[in-house]
Amino acid sequence: MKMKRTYAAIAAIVIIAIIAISVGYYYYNPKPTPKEIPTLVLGTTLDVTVNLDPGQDYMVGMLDTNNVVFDPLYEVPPGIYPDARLAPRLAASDPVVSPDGLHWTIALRQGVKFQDGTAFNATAVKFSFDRLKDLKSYSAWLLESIDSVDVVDLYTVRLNLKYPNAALKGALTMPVAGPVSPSAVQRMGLEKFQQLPVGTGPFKYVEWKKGDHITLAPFEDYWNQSRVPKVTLFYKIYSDSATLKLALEKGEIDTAWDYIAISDYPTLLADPNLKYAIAAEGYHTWMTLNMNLPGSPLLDARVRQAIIFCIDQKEISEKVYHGVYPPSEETPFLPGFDPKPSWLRYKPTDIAKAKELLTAAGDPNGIDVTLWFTPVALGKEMPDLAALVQEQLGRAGIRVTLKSTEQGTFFQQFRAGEYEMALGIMSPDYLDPDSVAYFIANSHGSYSKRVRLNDTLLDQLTLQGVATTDPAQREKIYGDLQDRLADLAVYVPFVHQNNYWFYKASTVSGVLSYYFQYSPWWTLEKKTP
Amino acid sequence: MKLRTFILLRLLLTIPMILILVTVVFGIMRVLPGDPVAAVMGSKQGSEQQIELLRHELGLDKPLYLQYLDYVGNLLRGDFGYSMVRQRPVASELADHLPATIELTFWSMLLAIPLGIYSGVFAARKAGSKIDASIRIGALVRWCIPVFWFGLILQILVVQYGLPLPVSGQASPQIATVAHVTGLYVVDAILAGDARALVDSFLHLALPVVTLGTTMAASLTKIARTNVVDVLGEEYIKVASLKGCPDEQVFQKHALPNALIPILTYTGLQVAILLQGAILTETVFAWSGLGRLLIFSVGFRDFNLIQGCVVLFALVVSLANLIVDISYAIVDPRVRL
Repeated sequence: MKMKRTYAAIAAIVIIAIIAISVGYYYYNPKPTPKEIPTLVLGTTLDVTVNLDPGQDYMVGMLDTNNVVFDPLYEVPPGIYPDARLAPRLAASDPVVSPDGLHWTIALRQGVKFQDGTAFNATAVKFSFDRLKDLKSYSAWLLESIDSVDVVDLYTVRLNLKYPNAALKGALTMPVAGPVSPSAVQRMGLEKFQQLPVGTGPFKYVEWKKGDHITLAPFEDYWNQSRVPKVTLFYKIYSDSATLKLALEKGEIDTAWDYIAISDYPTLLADPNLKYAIAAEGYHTWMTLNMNLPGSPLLDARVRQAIIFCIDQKEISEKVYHGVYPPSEETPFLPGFDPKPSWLRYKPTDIAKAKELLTAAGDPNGIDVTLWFTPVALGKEMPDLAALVQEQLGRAGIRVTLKSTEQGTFFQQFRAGEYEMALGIMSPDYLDPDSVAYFIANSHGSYSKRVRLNDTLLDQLTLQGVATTDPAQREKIYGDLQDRLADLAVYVPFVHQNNYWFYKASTVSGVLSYYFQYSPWWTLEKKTP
Repeated sequence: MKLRTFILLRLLLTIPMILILVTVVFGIMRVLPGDPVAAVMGSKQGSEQQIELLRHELGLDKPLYLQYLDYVGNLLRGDFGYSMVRQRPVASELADHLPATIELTFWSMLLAIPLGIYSGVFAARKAGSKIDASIRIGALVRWCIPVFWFGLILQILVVQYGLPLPVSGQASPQIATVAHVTGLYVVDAILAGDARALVDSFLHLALPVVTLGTTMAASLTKIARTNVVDVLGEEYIKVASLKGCPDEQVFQKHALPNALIPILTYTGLQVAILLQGAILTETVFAWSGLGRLLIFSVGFRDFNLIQGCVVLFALVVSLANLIVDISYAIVDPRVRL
């Protein structure tokens, strides 16, 4: 028995010693050599669900990484926020557009290489755009106005369009339009390429562990030496915003953004160790009012207008969003366009006016309506928002029944235009009014179908807007479009959902506010303590 | 019945069980409202033609019985199908995520079984004392606390008090790039001979394992205590004592082995509970395991991926129960009668 105890004691001492040595070694941090590239950990809940191939999709998560792995022909340059304009990136200059608007000649930047060493030229652009069309994927619609691509010379391409498209330059800023390495596509095959695709951008993909992390390393031969990154990026994916916040506070990650629960914003904003930048300005939370649902009181425009008069955006901003997201007073929000104050006719909030409109519509005792929402996919605040909207409309005698359902059902029925009223989010894809206008105002637009909007004037305006290149004329067209939408009263804006990008002031520098969700990560630097 | 026949029968019974399970899951997914294509598209601006095209590519426009026959036929050939959301074979997705769940549940069991059994036995031997009451109340309280809440509280405490433990992930960024041979971080670190990676893996395991392991330990404590108290009251224990056998010997040789047999069965059943807990633990601690994959696939109504996860969970639970049944049959031959 005594021997056994002695052996046990020796074993325990050995185990404790091994653990102590290992832990000591772990916490002993030798100073990195000057050549070692530091790693920045970016935490987010935006998972890249499908694949990383820009030719196959453009979900929000993959936009973040693809924006720095692929160079589109044009870009919204960083460092000018809150302004936004288009500038050449892989293109050498602005496009030369033929008088009929059907041929765009674009000179390309020379001396550019793909991350696998392949030379970038006009053939690579043609290959990438043709590939996008051949893949017939979801993202192909962004460049669907391009009929064919001609290689004019080694560094010039000509885009032949099906119809004049003034919005094309904006669409060409999307990573979807970023050329892919033809040799990498052929060498790797589709399945491997979509895991770690190859572009010309300042970062290159190193590893993707699905649902966990993506590692991006600097591309040292990047053509723009001023943008060669100084850090390796570790894009860490969380599924819970509470854990994301704790990881940031603990210092396990250097930055955190979308999605952070709105209830956590006050704590994070008050934390002296944290700073923030705006990570996207274009998101809007809004409500849709179906204008052609049989049997609905909303068939009468005066009822829809009465609903809008009841909505108090300031109260929504303060009570639901803790004042973090400012109230929105534009409908619709059109990127790259100074809004016309069409919406102000519904301001200030006026319950008496709402009741007056209801009486004029033959509903002096109020109406019964149903408001649909999905509680998680579009933000965890949706139930609170729905409850407040119910309360605000109740002030004018509009009795709202709240109904929620999971995202699959919600989007299916919403797309089919089956909801009388619904809560949603609208975000632009690129910097052009058409990025939003067509979808919400043209009768073929996917958002228009959700509210059963079918209006001849709006159809004309949306088509004119995209076909007109003259800025002054476009200004007029989109102004008229806003007026008409305000008349029809089918969309009710609530708040600008400006996403914040929080970062540790002690470890990170170079974080820039940016117009879109996908930020220019090449500006990031790691501070050495 | 011979042991070999018993094992063979148990193995054969697993096949209809999996088939019934697959059929139920298949039926539930189709009966529940929610269109998978609409969920994938979300609020994106896609045309109806694109949606229909996607639906056709996924075979969702086929009659239900054909979808079912396709699925079962493929499953029998070992093909779990193609993930609609991830756009790759379900088998590859499962293979990528299984190691994290195995690692989490293995270490949780390693913590839970000795801790639960020892504290249960200890409480039973001190039955009626304050220590016994404390252990029973402690186990009950822990059992009642939801896994995700307990995990979150641990994370908050670690952040609040600045404890040197990570609150998320399986490895630090600098360590995460160690060659993935098995996908099990601890094993890979050992294979790579990387002490720093090994310690890092254990540190990342600490909070999730305590969260999940103590849940199982709490229930084992209760079962172990009850069984030992029952056995200690049996006639043969009294006889052994009256014959002059020392108390310690009576306990070690007569009471404990008999009390532990039902615990063996209970431990097998606990594997299912553990996997259920793993779903929430992985979500809270940002572990890229099967549980998180299942939640992800449910959100997107990715039918094949959901079915793949459920079948794999069922296989793991069946395997654990098979091992327990076989061990039981060896320890107690009466079950083979």
